[in-house]
Amino acid sequence: MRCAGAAPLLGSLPGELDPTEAALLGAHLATCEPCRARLADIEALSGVVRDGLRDEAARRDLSIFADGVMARIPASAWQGAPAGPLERLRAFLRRHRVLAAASALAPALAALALYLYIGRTGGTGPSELSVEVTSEDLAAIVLDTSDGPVILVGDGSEGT
Amino acid sequence: MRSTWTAAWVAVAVLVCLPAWAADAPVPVRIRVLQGFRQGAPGVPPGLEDLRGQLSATAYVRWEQAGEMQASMVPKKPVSVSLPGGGSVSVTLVEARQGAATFEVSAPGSRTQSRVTVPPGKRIVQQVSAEQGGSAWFVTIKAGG
Repeated sequence: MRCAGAAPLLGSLPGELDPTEAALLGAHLATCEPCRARLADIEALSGVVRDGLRDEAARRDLSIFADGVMARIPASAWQGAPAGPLERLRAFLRRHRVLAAASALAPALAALALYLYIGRTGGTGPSELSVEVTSEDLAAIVLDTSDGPVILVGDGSEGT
Repeated sequence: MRSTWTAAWVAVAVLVCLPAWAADAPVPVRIRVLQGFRQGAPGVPPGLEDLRGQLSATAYVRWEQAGEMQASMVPKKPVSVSLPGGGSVSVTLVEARQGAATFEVSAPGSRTQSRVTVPPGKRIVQQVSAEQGGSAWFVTIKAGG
Protein backbone atom coordinates (compact mmCIF):
# COMPACT_ATOMS: atom_id res chain seq x y z
CA MET A 1 0.00 0.00 0.00
CA ARG A 2 1.18 3.45 -0.87
CA CYS A 3 0.56 6.70 0.98
CA ALA A 4 -2.15 7.72 -1.48
CA GLY A 5 -4.00 4.53 -0.71
CA ALA A 6 -3.45 4.75 3.03
CA ALA A 7 -4.54 8.37 3.44
CA PRO A 8 -8.30 7.78 3.13
CA LEU A 9 -8.06 5.03 5.72
CA LEU A 10 -6.25 7.00 8.38
CA GLY A 11 -9.35 8.60 9.87
CA SER A 12 -11.25 5.35 10.16
CA LEU A 13 -12.86 4.52 13.44
CA PRO A 14 -12.01 1.27 15.23
CA GLY A 15 -13.76 -1.64 13.54
CA GLU A 16 -14.59 0.37 10.47
CA LEU A 17 -11.96 -1.32 8.28
CA ASP A 18 -12.16 -4.90 7.17
CA PRO A 19 -9.30 -7.17 8.31
CA THR A 20 -7.48 -6.99 4.98
CA GLU A 21 -7.53 -3.18 4.90
CA ALA A 22 -6.51 -3.00 8.53
CA ALA A 23 -3.58 -5.34 7.88
CA LEU A 24 -2.39 -3.40 4.85
CA LEU A 25 -2.71 -0.09 6.66
CA GLY A 26 -0.83 -1.44 9.65
CA ALA A 27 1.96 -2.71 7.43
CA HIS A 28 2.18 0.63 5.67
CA LEU A 29 2.22 2.63 8.90
CA ALA A 30 5.01 0.42 10.19
CA THR A 31 7.26 1.59 7.37
CA CYS A 32 5.93 5.10 6.60
CA GLU A 33 6.86 7.84 8.99
CA PRO A 34 4.83 10.60 7.22
CA CYS A 35 1.67 8.57 7.43
CA ARG A 36 2.24 7.84 11.10
CA ALA A 37 2.62 11.57 11.66
CA ARG A 38 -0.56 12.28 9.74
CA LEU A 39 -2.42 9.65 11.76
CA ALA A 40 -1.19 11.25 14.95
CA ASP A 41 -2.50 14.62 13.76
CA ILE A 42 -5.89 13.18 12.89
CA GLU A 43 -6.23 11.48 16.26
CA ALA A 44 -5.25 14.61 18.06
CA LEU A 45 -7.71 16.67 16.05
CA SER A 46 -10.56 14.26 16.56
CA GLY A 47 -9.81 14.20 20.25
CA VAL A 48 -9.97 17.94 20.40
CA VAL A 49 -13.23 18.05 18.52
CA ARG A 50 -14.70 15.28 20.62
CA ASP A 51 -13.71 16.94 23.85
CA GLY A 52 -14.93 20.28 22.62
CA LEU A 53 -18.32 18.94 21.65
CA ARG A 54 -18.64 17.13 24.94
CA ASP A 55 -17.79 20.26 26.87
CA GLU A 56 -20.23 22.28 24.83
CA ALA A 57 -22.97 19.69 25.35
CA ALA A 58 -22.28 19.68 29.05
CA ARG A 59 -22.81 23.41 29.19
CA ARG A 60 -26.18 23.20 27.47
CA ASP A 61 -29.27 22.29 29.51
CA LEU A 62 -30.92 19.69 27.25
CA SER A 63 -33.66 19.03 29.75
CA ILE A 64 -35.45 22.05 28.38
CA PHE A 65 -35.40 20.43 24.94
CA ALA A 66 -36.70 17.12 26.26
CA ASP A 67 -39.42 18.85 28.28
CA GLY A 68 -40.46 20.83 25.24
CA VAL A 69 -40.78 17.70 23.12
CA MET A 70 -42.80 15.94 25.79
CA ALA A 71 -45.03 18.97 26.21
CA ARG A 72 -45.90 18.90 22.53
CA ILE A 73 -47.27 15.36 22.73
CA PRO A 74 -51.05 15.51 23.33
CA ALA A 75 -52.14 14.09 26.65
CA SER A 76 -54.71 11.82 25.00
CA ALA A 77 -52.08 10.25 22.76
CA TRP A 78 -49.76 9.79 25.69
CA GLN A 79 -52.43 8.08 27.79
CA GLY A 80 -53.48 5.75 25.00
CA ALA A 81 -50.00 4.97 23.81
CA PRO A 82 -49.89 1.22 23.21
CA ALA A 83 -47.10 -0.52 25.00
CA GLY A 84 -47.24 -3.78 23.09
CA PRO A 85 -49.28 -5.96 20.75
CA LEU A 86 -51.85 -6.72 23.43
CA GLU A 87 -52.26 -3.07 24.31
CA ARG A 88 -52.59 -2.20 20.62
CA LEU A 89 -55.23 -4.90 20.24
CA ARG A 90 -57.13 -3.54 23.22
CA ALA A 91 -56.92 -0.05 21.84
CA PHE A 92 -58.23 -1.29 18.50
CA LEU A 93 -61.12 -3.13 20.16
CA ARG A 94 -61.96 -0.04 22.22
CA ARG A 95 -62.27 1.90 19.01
CA HIS A 96 -64.32 -0.83 17.30
CA ARG A 97 -66.69 -2.02 19.97
CA VAL A 98 -69.27 -3.48 17.59
CA LEU A 99 -66.66 -5.51 15.79
CA ALA A 100 -65.24 -6.72 19.08
CA ALA A 101 -68.65 -7.75 20.36
CA ALA A 102 -69.43 -9.54 17.11
CA SER A 103 -66.16 -11.41 17.14
CA ALA A 104 -66.68 -12.38 20.75
CA LEU A 105 -70.21 -13.60 20.14
CA ALA A 106 -69.37 -15.42 16.92
CA PRO A 107 -68.15 -18.62 18.59
CA ALA A 108 -71.08 -18.54 20.97
CA LEU A 109 -73.54 -18.19 18.11
CA ALA A 110 -71.75 -20.92 16.17
CA ALA A 111 -71.96 -23.24 19.16
CA LEU A 112 -75.64 -22.38 19.63
CA ALA A 113 -76.36 -23.02 15.97
CA LEU A 114 -74.58 -26.36 16.12
CA TYR A 115 -76.43 -27.31 19.29
CA LEU A 116 -79.80 -26.41 17.80
CA TYR A 117 -78.95 -28.17 14.55
CA ILE A 118 -78.04 -31.37 16.37
CA GLY A 119 -81.16 -31.08 18.46
CA ARG A 120 -83.38 -30.61 15.41
CA THR A 121 -81.89 -33.31 13.27
CA GLY A 122 -81.56 -35.76 16.10
CA GLY A 123 -77.82 -36.09 15.80
CA THR A 124 -76.75 -39.37 17.27
CA GLY A 125 -79.53 -39.33 19.83
CA PRO A 126 -82.42 -41.76 19.80
CA SER A 127 -85.66 -40.43 18.37
CA GLU A 128 -87.30 -43.57 17.00
CA LEU A 129 -88.68 -46.58 18.78
CA SER A 130 -86.03 -49.26 19.09
CA VAL A 131 -86.52 -52.60 20.79
CA GLU A 132 -84.05 -55.40 21.29
CA VAL A 133 -85.15 -58.38 23.33
CA THR A 134 -83.24 -61.49 24.23
CA SER A 135 -84.83 -64.35 26.08
CA GLU A 136 -83.15 -67.61 26.97
CA ASP A 137 -86.12 -69.95 27.13
CA LEU A 138 -89.22 -68.09 26.08
CA ALA A 139 -90.23 -66.54 22.82
CA ALA A 140 -90.34 -62.76 22.93
CA ILE A 141 -93.05 -60.84 21.19
CA VAL A 142 -93.01 -57.09 20.71
CA LEU A 143 -96.28 -55.31 20.07
CA ASP A 144 -95.91 -51.78 18.78
CA THR A 145 -98.82 -49.70 19.99
CA SER A 146 -99.46 -46.00 19.71
CA ASP A 147 -98.56 -45.58 23.38
CA GLY A 148 -95.33 -47.55 23.19
CA PRO A 149 -94.05 -51.09 22.93
CA VAL A 150 -95.46 -54.06 24.76
CA ILE A 151 -92.98 -56.86 25.28
CA LEU A 152 -94.41 -60.27 25.99
CA VAL A 153 -92.73 -63.54 26.63
CA GLY A 154 -94.31 -66.94 26.24
CA ASP A 155 -95.33 -69.30 23.52
CA GLY A 156 -96.25 -66.54 21.12
CA SER A 157 -100.01 -66.75 21.46
CA GLU A 158 -100.52 -63.65 23.63
CA GLY A 159 -100.81 -61.05 20.94
CA THR A 160 -104.07 -60.06 19.35
CA MET B 1 -66.06 -4.06 26.93
CA ARG B 2 -64.77 -6.49 29.51
CA SER B 3 -68.32 -7.45 30.44
CA THR B 4 -69.08 -8.16 26.78
CA TRP B 5 -66.17 -10.54 26.53
CA THR B 6 -67.07 -12.18 29.81
CA ALA B 7 -70.68 -12.68 28.76
CA ALA B 8 -69.60 -14.14 25.45
CA TRP B 9 -67.24 -16.64 26.98
CA VAL B 10 -69.74 -17.60 29.65
CA ALA B 11 -72.24 -18.27 26.86
CA VAL B 12 -69.70 -20.43 25.06
CA ALA B 13 -68.94 -22.37 28.21
CA VAL B 14 -72.63 -22.95 28.90
CA LEU B 15 -73.32 -24.08 25.37
CA VAL B 16 -70.36 -26.43 25.38
CA CYS B 17 -71.19 -27.93 28.75
CA LEU B 18 -74.97 -28.03 28.34
CA PRO B 19 -75.19 -31.24 26.26
CA ALA B 20 -72.87 -33.13 28.61
CA TRP B 21 -74.73 -31.85 31.64
CA ALA B 22 -78.10 -32.69 30.10
CA ALA B 23 -76.95 -36.20 29.23
CA ASP B 24 -76.13 -36.97 32.86
CA ALA B 25 -78.97 -35.06 34.48
CA PRO B 26 -81.37 -37.15 36.57
CA VAL B 27 -84.51 -38.22 34.75
CA PRO B 28 -87.76 -38.80 36.61
CA VAL B 29 -89.05 -42.23 35.75
CA ARG B 30 -92.35 -43.77 36.75
CA ILE B 31 -92.27 -47.53 37.18
CA ARG B 32 -95.36 -49.56 37.90
CA VAL B 33 -95.70 -53.25 38.65
CA LEU B 34 -98.79 -54.92 37.25
CA GLN B 35 -100.26 -58.35 37.32
CA GLY B 36 -102.23 -59.54 34.34
CA PHE B 37 -104.73 -62.35 34.38
CA ARG B 38 -106.04 -64.33 31.48
CA GLN B 39 -109.25 -65.14 33.31
CA GLY B 40 -111.76 -62.98 35.12
CA ALA B 41 -113.97 -60.05 34.44
CA PRO B 42 -112.33 -58.07 31.71
CA GLY B 43 -111.39 -54.60 32.74
CA VAL B 44 -108.73 -52.08 33.48
CA PRO B 45 -108.80 -50.34 36.88
CA PRO B 46 -109.25 -46.57 36.82
CA GLY B 47 -105.68 -46.09 37.89
CA LEU B 48 -104.46 -47.88 34.80
CA GLU B 49 -106.62 -46.09 32.27
CA ASP B 50 -103.58 -44.47 30.71
CA LEU B 51 -102.32 -47.97 29.96
CA ARG B 52 -105.48 -49.23 28.33
CA GLY B 53 -104.12 -48.92 24.80
CA GLN B 54 -101.16 -51.14 25.56
CA LEU B 55 -102.81 -53.55 27.97
CA SER B 56 -105.70 -54.26 25.69
CA ALA B 57 -103.24 -55.38 23.02
CA THR B 58 -102.38 -58.45 25.09
CA ALA B 59 -104.31 -61.64 25.80
CA TYR B 60 -104.55 -60.74 29.48
CA VAL B 61 -107.99 -59.45 30.30
CA ARG B 62 -107.85 -58.41 33.94
CA TRP B 63 -105.24 -56.17 35.44
CA GLU B 64 -104.16 -55.13 38.90
CA GLN B 65 -101.48 -52.73 39.99
CA ALA B 66 -99.21 -54.24 42.63
CA GLY B 67 -96.72 -51.45 43.11
CA GLU B 68 -95.40 -48.16 41.90
CA MET B 69 -92.24 -46.14 42.31
CA GLN B 70 -91.00 -42.79 41.16
CA ALA B 71 -87.29 -42.97 40.55
CA SER B 72 -84.91 -40.20 39.73
CA MET B 73 -82.65 -42.14 37.45
CA VAL B 74 -79.27 -41.24 36.12
CA PRO B 75 -77.69 -43.07 33.21
CA LYS B 76 -75.96 -46.36 33.91
CA LYS B 77 -77.33 -46.62 37.48
CA PRO B 78 -79.71 -49.58 37.69
CA VAL B 79 -82.82 -49.51 39.84
CA SER B 80 -84.14 -52.70 41.36
CA VAL B 81 -87.88 -53.24 41.31
CA SER B 82 -89.21 -55.94 43.61
CA LEU B 83 -91.99 -58.20 42.41
CA PRO B 84 -94.66 -59.28 44.90
CA GLY B 85 -94.40 -62.81 43.63
CA GLY B 86 -90.72 -62.93 44.48
CA GLY B 87 -87.68 -61.86 42.59
CA SER B 88 -86.88 -58.48 41.18
CA VAL B 89 -86.36 -56.65 37.96
CA SER B 90 -83.42 -54.43 37.17
CA VAL B 91 -84.17 -51.27 35.25
CA THR B 92 -81.30 -49.20 33.90
CA LEU B 93 -81.54 -45.89 32.15
CA VAL B 94 -78.92 -46.18 29.44
CA GLU B 95 -79.30 -42.66 28.14
CA ALA B 96 -81.80 -39.87 27.86
CA ARG B 97 -81.50 -37.45 25.02
CA GLN B 98 -83.93 -35.00 23.49
CA GLY B 99 -86.79 -36.46 25.48
CA ALA B 100 -86.21 -40.00 24.24
CA ALA B 101 -84.98 -42.53 26.74
CA THR B 102 -83.25 -45.85 26.37
CA PHE B 103 -83.84 -48.42 29.09
CA GLU B 104 -82.42 -51.83 29.74
CA VAL B 105 -84.71 -54.16 31.61
CA SER B 106 -83.33 -57.37 33.02
CA ALA B 107 -85.93 -59.83 34.26
CA PRO B 108 -84.36 -62.95 35.74
CA GLY B 109 -87.81 -64.43 36.29
CA SER B 110 -88.42 -64.70 32.59
CA ARG B 111 -84.73 -64.86 31.68
CA THR B 112 -85.40 -61.92 29.45
CA GLN B 113 -83.35 -58.86 28.80
CA SER B 114 -84.46 -55.95 26.70
CA ARG B 115 -83.02 -52.69 25.50
CA VAL B 116 -85.72 -50.31 24.44
CA THR B 117 -85.60 -46.76 23.21
CA VAL B 118 -88.89 -44.95 23.52
CA PRO B 119 -89.67 -41.54 22.07
CA PRO B 120 -90.99 -38.80 24.37
CA GLY B 121 -94.40 -39.57 25.86
CA LYS B 122 -94.20 -43.29 25.10
CA ARG B 123 -94.19 -46.04 27.68
CA ILE B 124 -92.72 -49.51 27.91
CA VAL B 125 -94.86 -52.39 29.07
CA GLN B 126 -92.83 -55.50 29.56
CA GLN B 127 -93.68 -58.92 30.86
CA VAL B 128 -91.09 -59.79 33.45
CA SER B 129 -92.16 -63.24 34.56
CA ALA B 130 -93.21 -66.40 32.89
CA GLU B 131 -96.90 -67.04 33.03
CA GLN B 132 -98.01 -69.14 35.95
CA GLY B 133 -101.57 -70.14 36.61
CA GLY B 134 -102.90 -67.83 34.00
CA SER B 135 -101.18 -64.70 35.30
CA ALA B 136 -97.92 -62.93 34.77
CA TRP B 137 -96.08 -59.92 36.13
CA PHE B 138 -95.42 -56.82 34.12
CA VAL B 139 -93.61 -53.58 34.63
CA THR B 140 -94.37 -50.33 32.91
CA ILE B 141 -91.68 -47.71 32.50
CA LYS B 142 -92.18 -44.15 31.45
CA ALA B 143 -89.61 -41.39 31.48
CA GLY B 144 -90.79 -38.04 32.69
CA GLY B 145 -93.00 -39.44 35.44
